[in-house]
Amino acid sequence: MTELELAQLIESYLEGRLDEKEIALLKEKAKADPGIAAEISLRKELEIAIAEEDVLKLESKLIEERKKGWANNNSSQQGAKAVPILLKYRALAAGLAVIIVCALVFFLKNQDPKDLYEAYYQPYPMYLTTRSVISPDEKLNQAIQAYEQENYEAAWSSFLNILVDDPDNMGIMFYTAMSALHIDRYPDAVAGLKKVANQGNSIYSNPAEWYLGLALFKSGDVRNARKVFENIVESKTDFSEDAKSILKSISTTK
Amino acid sequence: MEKKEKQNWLAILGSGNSAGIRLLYQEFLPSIVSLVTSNSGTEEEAMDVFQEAILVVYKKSKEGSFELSSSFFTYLYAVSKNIWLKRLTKKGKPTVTFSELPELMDVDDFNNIILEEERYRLFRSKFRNLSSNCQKLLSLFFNKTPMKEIVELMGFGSVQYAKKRKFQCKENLVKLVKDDPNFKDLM
Repeated sequence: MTELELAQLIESYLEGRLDEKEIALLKEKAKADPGIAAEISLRKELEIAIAEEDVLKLESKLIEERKKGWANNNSSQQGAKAVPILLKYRALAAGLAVIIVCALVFFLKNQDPKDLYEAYYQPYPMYLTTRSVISPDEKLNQAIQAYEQENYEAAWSSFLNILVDDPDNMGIMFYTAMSALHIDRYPDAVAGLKKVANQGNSIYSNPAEWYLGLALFKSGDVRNARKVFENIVESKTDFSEDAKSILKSISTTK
Repeated sequence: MEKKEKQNWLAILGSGNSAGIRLLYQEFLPSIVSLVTSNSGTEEEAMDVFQEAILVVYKKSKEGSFELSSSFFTYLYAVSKNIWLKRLTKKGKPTVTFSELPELMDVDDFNNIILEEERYRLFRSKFRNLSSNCQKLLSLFFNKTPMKEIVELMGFGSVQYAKKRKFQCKENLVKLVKDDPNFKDLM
C-alpha cells in the first residue's frame, strides 16, 4: 500500500465511510504496524485540535496581544525593560489601591446601606457570545445587545425567554438574574444568583455569589447578605478581598 | 467614587474579549516572568509559558468536573510553575526549588494535559500556515458541518469537489506538522 493509499484509507475511516469489514482490516493492520497506529492517532488528534474553535480563537488573541504589547520588537533591550517598568507601575498601583481602600472605608463609615451598595456594585461585563458564524443565535444576540446597551428590562425578558428553553444554562441564568437585579426584581435576582452560586463548576458561580450578597443587601436582608460575604471571605476566591471590605463597612454603617 | 473592577477571568478566556485578554497580561504576566526569569529562564520563555498555562487553564475549565476552588491567579501560577519545571527537566537543567504540585489537580492528569497541549499547539500553529480557504474548509469539516452546507458556504461546484479539496488541505496540514523539527519529540 502506498503512502497516499494509506492516507486515503485512514481519512475514509475517520469520515465513517468504511464498512465493518474494512474497519476490522484497518485495525488489524494498525495492531501489526505501530506506524499505521500512530498515523491514525495523529490524523484523529489533528481533527480534535482544529475543531476546538474557541481555543484557536483564544490562542490567536493571546498571540495578537503578545505581539502588540509585550513582544520585544526585535530588541532584546527593550524587551528586558518592559517587565520591570510594569512591575514598578504595579507597585505604585498597589500603593494607590491601599490609599483608595482606606479612603473608601473612612468615607463609608457615614453611609447608609443604599450608598454602600452603590459603592460596591458595578454592572457585570457581558461575556456571553454567539459562537456560530454560520447560524448565529438571534434570540441570544438580542439579549446580549439589550444588556450591553443597559436596557435591562428588555435584557431580562429576552434572557428569561432563552432560559425557558435552556434551563440548565448557568451563563443565561446568571445574566437573567443580573438583569433582574438592575430592575429591582430582588426575589428573581436572588433565586437565580443562588442557583448559579450553588453550581460549583460554573465559571459564573463565584461572581454569582458576590452579586447574591449584594442583592440580599440591597433588598434589606442584611443578615443573609453578611452570611454570603463571610462565605466568600472563607472560600478565598477573587472576590474575597471585596467581601472582607464590605463586611467591615457593614459593621460600621448605621 | 471609584469602584473596584470585578473580573471573571474564565469568562474572559471563553469570550476571547480583547480588552479582557490585555488586562489578563497586565495583571498576571509580570508574576510569571518573575517566576521564570528567577529560575534560569528568559522573558521570551516566560511569555511562552504564560500563554501555554492560560490555554491549559481554559481547557481544564471546560471539563465538567473542573472547579476553581482557589483564586484564578493561584491556579494559573501553579500551572505555569509546573510547565516551566517540565521544560527545565527537558533541557536537562538541575531541578529548581519549586514546591510540589498543589492539590489543585491530579499529577498524571496534569502531565497528560500539558503533553496534549504541546502537541495541539503545534497542530494549531501549522493550521494557521494553511491558506485561509483551507482553514475555513477544514474548520467546517471537523466541526461536522453537513457537506451540502460546506459546498454552499465555500462556493464549490459539487460535494465530490469539496471532499477532494478537504483531502488536499488535510494532507498539506499533515505534511507541515510532520516536517516540524519538534514533531518527533511531541508524539
